[in-house]
Amino acid sequence: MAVAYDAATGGQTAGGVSSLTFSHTTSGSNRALFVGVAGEWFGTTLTGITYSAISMTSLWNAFWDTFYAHAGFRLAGPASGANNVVVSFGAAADVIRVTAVSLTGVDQTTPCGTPVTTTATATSITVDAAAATDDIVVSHLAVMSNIGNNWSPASGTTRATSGSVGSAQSISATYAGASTVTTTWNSDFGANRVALGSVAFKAIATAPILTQSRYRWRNDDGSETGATWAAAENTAITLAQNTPRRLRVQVQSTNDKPSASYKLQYRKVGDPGWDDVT
Amino acid sequence: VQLKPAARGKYGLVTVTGTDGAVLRQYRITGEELAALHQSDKGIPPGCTAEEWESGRVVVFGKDHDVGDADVVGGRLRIKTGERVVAGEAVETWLVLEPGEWSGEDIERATVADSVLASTDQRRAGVAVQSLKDGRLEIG
Repeated sequence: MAVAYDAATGGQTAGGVSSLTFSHTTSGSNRALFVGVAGEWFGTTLTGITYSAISMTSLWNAFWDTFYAHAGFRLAGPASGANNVVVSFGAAADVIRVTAVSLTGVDQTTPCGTPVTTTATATSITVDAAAATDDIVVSHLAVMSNIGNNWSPASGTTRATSGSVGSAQSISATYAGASTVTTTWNSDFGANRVALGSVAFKAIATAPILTQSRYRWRNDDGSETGATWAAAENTAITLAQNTPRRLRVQVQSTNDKPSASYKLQYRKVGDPGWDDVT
Repeated sequence: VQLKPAARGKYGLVTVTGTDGAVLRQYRITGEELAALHQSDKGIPPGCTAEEWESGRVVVFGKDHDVGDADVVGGRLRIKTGERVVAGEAVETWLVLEPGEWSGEDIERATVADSVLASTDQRRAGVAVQSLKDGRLEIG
C-alpha cells in the first residue's frame, strides 16, 4: 500500500506570540501528520507541537543562524477529522510560519525514515532523502525573505505555503518515493537564506503472500528437458522407498519484494518440524 | 507609564480570514479561554463558527505581552509599545533598552540611565520614558 497525500493547511503566520493554534483536518486510514515551522525565535525555543492534544515527535528543531530556526514534527496515527494544532514556544517568538501536511497509508510503527537537513544562501538548495518506491518524501523549506513566493520545489508538489507575508516563509511539498529522492528547491528571484529539511514517510510494510499454484512429478530418467512425467499435473503418486523422483512446484507471489529471499523445506507426515532442502 | 511583567499566554488573539486571505475580523480571548483551547483536541475558540475554524482560516495567537508589558531578554529591557494588524498579521512595536541603558533588580523597579533620556526630569521610578536622545520615542 503506497503512501498518499491527504490534506494540507498553510499560511498560519504570527509574530510576537508564544503559541499558535489552528485546525487541520485529516482523513483516511493509516494516517500521519507533518508540521513544518520556520521563523525567527531568538531568545526562546520551540517547546513542542500537539495535534488533538497529542504531542508530536520532533524530526528537526534547530537554529540555523543566530536568529533563524526551522523545525519539522511528525505524528503517526493522528486523530481523524478536524483537530487542533498547537505550536508552543517558551516565550514570545518574533516570527512564526507554520504549514501542516497529512498523509495516508503510512506505516504506523516506523512512520519515517531518517530526516536530513541543510542550509544555504543561494538560489537553489538540495538534499537527498532515502526512501522507497511506495513512500512519500515531505520536504519543508524555511525561507528568510520578504520577497515571497519565489521558491518552488523542482520536481515535487507544493502542498502548503505561508505565502509572502513578512520576513519568512514556511513551504511544505511532497515528492514521489524512490530509493533516493533528491529534494531540490529553486528560487526564481535571486538568492535567499534558506533551510531545508526532508524526510520519507514510509509505506506500510506488506508481507508477501505465497500460493502454490500447481505441481507435477517427473521420473528421474533424463535431462531437465528430456525427463518423462510420472503423473499428470497436480496428481499425487505413490513411491516405493528409495526411489528417486523429481518434483516441479510453481508458487505465485503477491507483494513480493526484490530483496526477499526464500528457502524450500519439507516435512514427512508425522514429523514435528520442517527440514531445509539443501 | 505603569510597566507590567509579561506572562505566558496572557491572552489570545483570534484572526479570522476569508477565502481570499483578507482579514474578516480580529478579536481577543482571555488567557483562560486560550488555555482551554490548548488543552482540548477539537475545541473552537469563542467568537467563530465551526465552519470557520475547521476550514483552517482561523488562527489563534497566544500573546504574552499587552501594550505596556515588559520583559528582560539577553540583558535588554523590552517594553511593548504598540500592536496593530498588517496583512493579517499582528505587528508589534517595542522600545528596547540595551544593557547599560537601564538598571534595576526587576521590571517594577527599573530605572533608565540619564544618558539615554532627553531630559533628566524623565528619570523616576519605573521606566517612564517620554523620549530618548536618539529619537526612540515609543511610549509616554
